[in-house]
Amino acid sequence: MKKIIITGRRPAATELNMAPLIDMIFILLIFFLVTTSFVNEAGLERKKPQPSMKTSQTEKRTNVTLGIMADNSIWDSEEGRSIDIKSIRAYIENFLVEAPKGTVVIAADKDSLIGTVVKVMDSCRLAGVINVSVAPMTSGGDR
Amino acid sequence: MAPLIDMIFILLIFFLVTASFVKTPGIDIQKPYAETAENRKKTNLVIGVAQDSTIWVEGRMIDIRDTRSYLERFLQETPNGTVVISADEESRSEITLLLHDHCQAAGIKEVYIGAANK
Repeated sequence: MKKIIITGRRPAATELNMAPLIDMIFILLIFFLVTTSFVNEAGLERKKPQPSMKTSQTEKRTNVTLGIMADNSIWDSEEGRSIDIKSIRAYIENFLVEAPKGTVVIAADKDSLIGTVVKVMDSCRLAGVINVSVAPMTSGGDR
Repeated sequence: MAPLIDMIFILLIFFLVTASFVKTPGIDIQKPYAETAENRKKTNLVIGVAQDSTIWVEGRMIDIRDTRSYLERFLQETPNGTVVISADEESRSEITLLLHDHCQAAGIKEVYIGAANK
């Protein structure tokens, strides 16, 4: 058996009282839990067409301009044909075979719906176009 | 114990001041679906465009002509703030594109068009 020999009085209050600290930390934790808003917004980046994209030096088409009309129909302005929203991806994939680094310009009529614009943007990006830009349609100019 | 609690108070005040809260439009928006939409971690402001093409920020409706001054004030409060324009899929595209232009003109570098990706 060991003997504990008390040689002198130990100084008082060597132990920290942890209770208020833990209270405090809990209050902080709850505060940040309540105020932190878990808003996780997803979004698409929009590019604007550069002036150089309009002029193609070569014979080959390097960009497609998709016009979205007020009635949400989609037209290829250079070929003058309408495209169904579901076949845009295939259409753009076809175009990319000819011009692998081709760009797409979406010209949206001011009365077209943003849902259509986003769908077209999404289809183009899914088809693999790196540079998709969106611009408002200049009155009567793009078709 | 007292200095420790003091320090924690200082920390609390520090976080209160620096915490960036997302300003939400406060309206219900049916966002368009886009598979390629990427999550934007640090969003500071969400501008809502309702189905009837009205613009909402922080729970109130603002006119398109007032957005410029609002955005400049926002940028002063939150330099390098990220803005997401969350437009209802049945709103007119003109509003979103105009808002995007206004954001860039005000000097906001990161502006995204809101979409749901799941």
